[in-house]
Amino acid sequence: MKKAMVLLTAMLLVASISLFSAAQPEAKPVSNELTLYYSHAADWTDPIIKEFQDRTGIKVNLVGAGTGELVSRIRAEKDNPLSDVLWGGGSDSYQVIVDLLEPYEHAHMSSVLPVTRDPGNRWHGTTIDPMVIIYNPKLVAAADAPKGWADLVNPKFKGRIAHADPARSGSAFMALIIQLLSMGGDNETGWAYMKNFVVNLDSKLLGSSSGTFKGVADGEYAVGITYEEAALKYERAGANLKVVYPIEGSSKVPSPIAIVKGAKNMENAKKFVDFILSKDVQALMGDLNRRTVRTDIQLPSIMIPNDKLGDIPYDTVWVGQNKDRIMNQWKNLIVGR
Amino acid sequence: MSQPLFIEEVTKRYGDFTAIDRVSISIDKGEFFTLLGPSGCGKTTLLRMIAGFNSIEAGTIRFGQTVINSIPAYKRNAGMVFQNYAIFPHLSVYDNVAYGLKARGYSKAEIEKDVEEVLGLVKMSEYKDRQPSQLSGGQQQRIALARAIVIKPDVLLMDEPLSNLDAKLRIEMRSVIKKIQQNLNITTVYVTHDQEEALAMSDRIAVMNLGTVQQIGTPLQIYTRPQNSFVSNFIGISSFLSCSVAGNTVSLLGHAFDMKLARAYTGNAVLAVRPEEATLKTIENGGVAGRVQFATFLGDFINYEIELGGDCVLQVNEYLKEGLPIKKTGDKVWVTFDRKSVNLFTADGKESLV
Amino acid sequence: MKEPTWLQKGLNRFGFWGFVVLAAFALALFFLVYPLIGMLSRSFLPNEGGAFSLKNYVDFFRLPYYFNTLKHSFAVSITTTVFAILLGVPMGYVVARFNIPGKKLLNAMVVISLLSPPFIGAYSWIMLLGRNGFITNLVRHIGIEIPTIYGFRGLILVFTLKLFPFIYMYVQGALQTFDSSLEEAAENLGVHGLKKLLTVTFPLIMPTITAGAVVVFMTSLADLGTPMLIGEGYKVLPVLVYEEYMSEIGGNATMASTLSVIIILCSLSVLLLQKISIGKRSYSMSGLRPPAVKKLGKLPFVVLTILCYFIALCALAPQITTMVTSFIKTRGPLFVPGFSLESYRSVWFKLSANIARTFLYSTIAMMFMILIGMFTSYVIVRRKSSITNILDFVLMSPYVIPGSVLGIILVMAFNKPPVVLTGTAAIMIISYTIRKIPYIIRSSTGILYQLDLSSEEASINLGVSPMKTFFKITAILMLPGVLSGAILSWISTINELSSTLILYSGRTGTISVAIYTEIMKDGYGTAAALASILTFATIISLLVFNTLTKGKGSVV
Repeated sequence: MKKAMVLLTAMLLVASISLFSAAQPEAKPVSNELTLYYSHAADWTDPIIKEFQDRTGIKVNLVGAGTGELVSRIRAEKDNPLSDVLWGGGSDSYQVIVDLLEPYEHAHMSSVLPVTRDPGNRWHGTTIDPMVIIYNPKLVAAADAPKGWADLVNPKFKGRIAHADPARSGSAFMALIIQLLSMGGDNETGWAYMKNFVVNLDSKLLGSSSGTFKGVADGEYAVGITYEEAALKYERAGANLKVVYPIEGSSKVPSPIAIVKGAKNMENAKKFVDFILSKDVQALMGDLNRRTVRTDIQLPSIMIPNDKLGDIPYDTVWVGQNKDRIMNQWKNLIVGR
Repeated sequence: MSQPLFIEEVTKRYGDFTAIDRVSISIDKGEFFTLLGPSGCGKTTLLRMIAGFNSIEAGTIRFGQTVINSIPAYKRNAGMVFQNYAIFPHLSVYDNVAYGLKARGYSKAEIEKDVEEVLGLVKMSEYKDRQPSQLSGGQQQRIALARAIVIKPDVLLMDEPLSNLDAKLRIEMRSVIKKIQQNLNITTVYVTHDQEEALAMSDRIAVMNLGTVQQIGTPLQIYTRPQNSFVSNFIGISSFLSCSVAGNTVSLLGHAFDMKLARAYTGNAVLAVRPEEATLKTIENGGVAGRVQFATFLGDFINYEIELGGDCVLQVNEYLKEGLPIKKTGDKVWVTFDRKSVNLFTADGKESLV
Repeated sequence: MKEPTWLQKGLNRFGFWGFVVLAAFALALFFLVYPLIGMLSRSFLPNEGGAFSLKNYVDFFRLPYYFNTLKHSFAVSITTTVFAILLGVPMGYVVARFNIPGKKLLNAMVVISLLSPPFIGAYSWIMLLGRNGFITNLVRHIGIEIPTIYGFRGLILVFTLKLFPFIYMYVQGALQTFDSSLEEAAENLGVHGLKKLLTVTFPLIMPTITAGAVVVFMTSLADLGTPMLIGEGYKVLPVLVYEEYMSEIGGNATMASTLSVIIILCSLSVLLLQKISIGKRSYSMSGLRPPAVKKLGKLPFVVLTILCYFIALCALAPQITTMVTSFIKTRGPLFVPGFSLESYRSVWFKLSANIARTFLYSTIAMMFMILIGMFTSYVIVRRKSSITNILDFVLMSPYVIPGSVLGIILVMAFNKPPVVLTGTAAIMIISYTIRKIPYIIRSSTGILYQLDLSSEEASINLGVSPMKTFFKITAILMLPGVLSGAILSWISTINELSSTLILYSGRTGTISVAIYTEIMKDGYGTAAALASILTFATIISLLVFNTLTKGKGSVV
C-alpha cells in the first residue's frame, strides 16, 4: 500500500527528471565530441573516422543519410544546430545553405586546388567526384552502349536506367545539373531534354545513390548514372559494369566538407576538417577510386585526367541560387504536373 | 457499536425507472432482519443504499439518531459481507481482517488483539498467515465475516453471503452466522432469495417485490398469515383455489363452509391452501370431490396433486407415519380444509381477508 | 478514524480523479491535439501567402504520381491481409485442434517473429533472396533464376510472414476457448467435417479473425521501414510522406501534412468498417468445455507437422538470418567465408551509445506509460462520464496515426520557440509514449473490467476513502496486468523505427536507426549484429513477461 505509493511516486519523479534533462538542448561548453552529418558510404569512411578518434580522442557521433536529407536537417535546425560538420554530396548542396556554414581557413590552404573550395571558405572540397554513365556489358553490347547524356533518352533504355532521386542524393542532383547544362542549358531546350529523360526513367527512381551501381552490376538495370568512385570500384573488382565518361562532358564538382555555423563543438570540427584535408587522408583517395584535391598527390592511371573531363561551366553560386527552382521544376516533371 | 436502523419512505430511481418505492422499515438494535424476495425485487439495491454504494433519491436512512444520507460510503461504519466474499487476494488472512482497523488508526497491539479474537470467533485462528488463494469457499466466507465485524460496525450488512456455497456448507454456515450475530448483538440486515434460509435465521423478515415491501413480520407470521397472495406464494407452497364469499360463508366448487373473517366481504376470492392444511379421505365425507392426478414419493411424505374440477389443482402432503393408505393416479378423494389455518384473499390477491 | 490531512482534504474537495482527468487532458492537448491541429491546418495552406486552399488535396487525387501511391498502399495492405488470413487461419486451426508436437515451441517461434520489427525482415529477405542473396546465388548454380524480391513482391512476402502471426494467435486463442458443445450439437444434427467448420466454427470466430485482419491491415499500411528498404520504386503512402517531408522541411511541410491526413483517414475508415461489420455480433462463449485435441493419422500428422514448422521457420527466418550473419566475416559490404566477432566489435566501437540510449528511452517511456495508463484507465472504467469517454477517444487516437506521421507532426509543432524539443531525447520519448498509450489503455481497462468491483467496495466499506482504496487495492491488483502490457510495449518500442527515423539526431540515435543506416550504407554485418541484439533483448523480455503472467498472458 504505502510501498506502492512510494514506488509510483519514485517512478514519476525519475521519469519526469529524465524527461526534463532529455529536453535540455546541449549546453556543454567544452566537450570531447563531434557530431558528423555524412552521406558517404560507411565502408571507406569508417576507418578514416576511427583513425581520427584514435588520434585525437574525440568521440564522433554519426548521422548518416542522403545529402538532401542532411541539408534539410541543417536548414531545419538553424536556430539550434545539432550538427558540427557536414561531409559528402556535391558543392551545390552546400551552396544552398552557405549562410549556415562557418568560414574556416584550414591547415592546408596552399596545398589544395583553389577551384575546389568556396571563395568565402565556407566549404572545402575533399575530393572531386565526377558523374559517369555505367552499363552492364552482359545486357548491352559495347556498340549499343550509351556514349553520353543524349543517349539516355533512347527508348531502348526506357525503364532500365538506374538513377537516384536528386531530392535525396547529392550526386544525383549533380548529374541533373550536368545533364541540363550539357544538353542545352537552363532553358527550353535543356528542359525539353529533361522531360524526355524523366519519361525514359519510367517512374523508377532509387532512394540512394548506392542502388545505382549495384542495380546495374546485378543486372536489374541496363544502364545507370553514378559517381566515378563506385563505378571504378566495381569495374576494378570485376563486376558486370563498364564506365563511360560522357562525351558531352562531366562535372568537376568537388565533394566538400563544411563546418556548421553555431556548431557546439567548433574546435573539434576544425580539427576534423584539417584531418580530412591532410596528406595522410588525401593520399588514401586514389586507392579508394576518388580524386584528391591536393596538388601534391598523383591520380591513379585508371582515371582520366581532370582536364579531360570536359569543360561545362559549373558555377556553384549560380547552382546554389537556383537549386530550389530547379528542384521544383524537376519535381513537376516527375509528378506530371 | 450496534445501532437501530430506520429506513423512512426511501425511494431509489434510475432515470424514469423506480427501483425502490417509498420503503419504510424499522429494525431494532441487535435484530437479525432479512430482506427476502425474488431477483429484481430491489433487496440488494436497498442494501447497497444502506451501505452507501447507491444514492438515495428520496426519504431518509438513520443509524440510531444519525441521518446517513449524505455520509460517504467509507464513513458509514456499516460492515458489509459480499456475495463473492471480496477477500483481498494480495493480503494475508491476518492483513485482510486487520484492514479496516488499520484504516481507523488502531495501534498495532490493539489490532493484534482484536484480530486474534475475531478469528477465534469464526474458528479460523490457524489460518491467520495463509493467503486467500489457499482457502476454500466456506473459509473465505468466515474471513469476510470476521473482517466486517472486527470493526465493530453500527450495522452489519450481508448480501446473499451463502449463495455461492454448496447445500451442506450453506446449512452449516447458517448457524455459524446466526450464533455469532446473537453473541455480538449486532443489528444485521441480511439479503437472500432463499426463503428457507430466511425463515431459519431471521428475527423478522421483509418480503419484497418490485421495489416495495409486501409484508414485514416474524417467520411464523409470514408463513402462517401472509398478507397477500404474493407472499403466500413466495413462502412455502400454496395452492390457490377460486371461490366466492358472502358474509362468513366461503363457497368453493359447490361446497360451502364457514370461516372467521377479519372484515365483511362479498364477492370473488381466492383460497390459499398449504399442502399440510388439507386432508384427504377416500370415502365421501362432505368435502370437495377430486381425483388424484399425481402422487410423488418424497421420503417421509407423499405429495399428491388433486384435480378438483373447474381448473382447480390442489397439493396435499400426507406423512407416512400417519399410516394412511397410499393413493394412486385416478383415485377419487374427498378434501376437507383446516379452516383455522388456510388463508383467504380478495380475488386480486392483494388483501388478506383473515 | 484518522483526521484527513490538509492535502487529502484539498484533493477530496477538488476530486483527485478530477485532477487526473484534467492532467490527462492537458497532456493530450499539448502533445497530441495541438500537433494534429497544426498538421490539419498546414494541409489546407499550400501557398506561401497562407490562404486556405484545397490545392494539395486536389493535387493528390489528380496527379497519378500521388494517387498511385494510395492504390499501391491499398494493394499491399489488402493482399497482405488476405494472405495472412490464408496462412494464419488454417495454421491456427491445425495447431489448436490437432496433436502437433511441440506446440509451445511453435508458439514461441511465432511470437518472437511477431515482436520483431518488419524492416529487419525486409533486410533479411534481401540477404536471402535479393539480387546477391544467399539462396539466390545457391539456386542460380542449378539454373533457377529467382525473380526480384524488390517492390510489390517483396513487400507482400515480408509483411505476410511478419503479420500472419497476429491472425494465427488470435485464431488459436479463440479456438481454445471455444464451447465444444456447439460443435457437438452440429454433429448430433448430422453436420460434420468441412461443412461443420464452415457453418459453425469459423462463423463464430469471425469477429476474432476480423479483429486480427484489421491489425494486419493497419500495420502494413503504416509501416515505413520495410518499403524504404525493399520497396524500391514501388511507392506506398508512408514513403511518400517521408520524402515529401524531407524535401519540404525547413519550409512548411504542407504536402506532407496533406498526405498525413489522407493516411489517417484511410486507417480510420478501415476501423469504422470493421466496427460496422461486426457491430452487435460479438459471440461470447462460456468456454466451459474447450474442445479436445484430436489425433491425426500417420500421413496427415507428418505432413501437417512439417508444414507448420516450415511456416514458423519462414516467419523466424529474419531472426535466424541476422543471428547467423552477425557472426560472419565481412569485408565492406561483402561477406567472406569464416566466422568472426568483428561485426560485434565494430558495433561496440561505433554504436554502443545507440544501444544504451535505446534501452534507456524505452524504459523511461514505459514508466510514463504505466503511470498514465493506470490512472486514466481507472477514470475511464470506474468514473465513466461523457468527459472520460472523450478522453478515452483522444488517448486511443494514436492508434490510427502512423509512426512517421507522428514524428513529422511533433517536429512541426515543437521546432520553434517557446518550446523547442527537436533533436532532444524528450521528443522521442514523447513519441514512443504517445504511440503505445492506446495499447496500455486497452490492456489496463481490460484488466479493470475483469477486476471485481466488490474488492474496492469492500475496502471503502471498511473505512478507506475511494482515493486511498485505489492505491491500496486497485492499483496493486491491476499492476501485474498493467506491467505485462507495458513489457510488450517496451519490446515494440526498442524496435520502433518509423517515428525515430524522423526524430533522431546525432546524439539521440537508437539501435533501429543504426540498423537502417548501416543497411543503407552496406554495413550488413553490423546491421545483423544490432538486429541480433534486439532479438536477444526481445527474448529476455518475453521470458519476464511469461513469468509475470504465469504463462497465461496473451501477446496480442
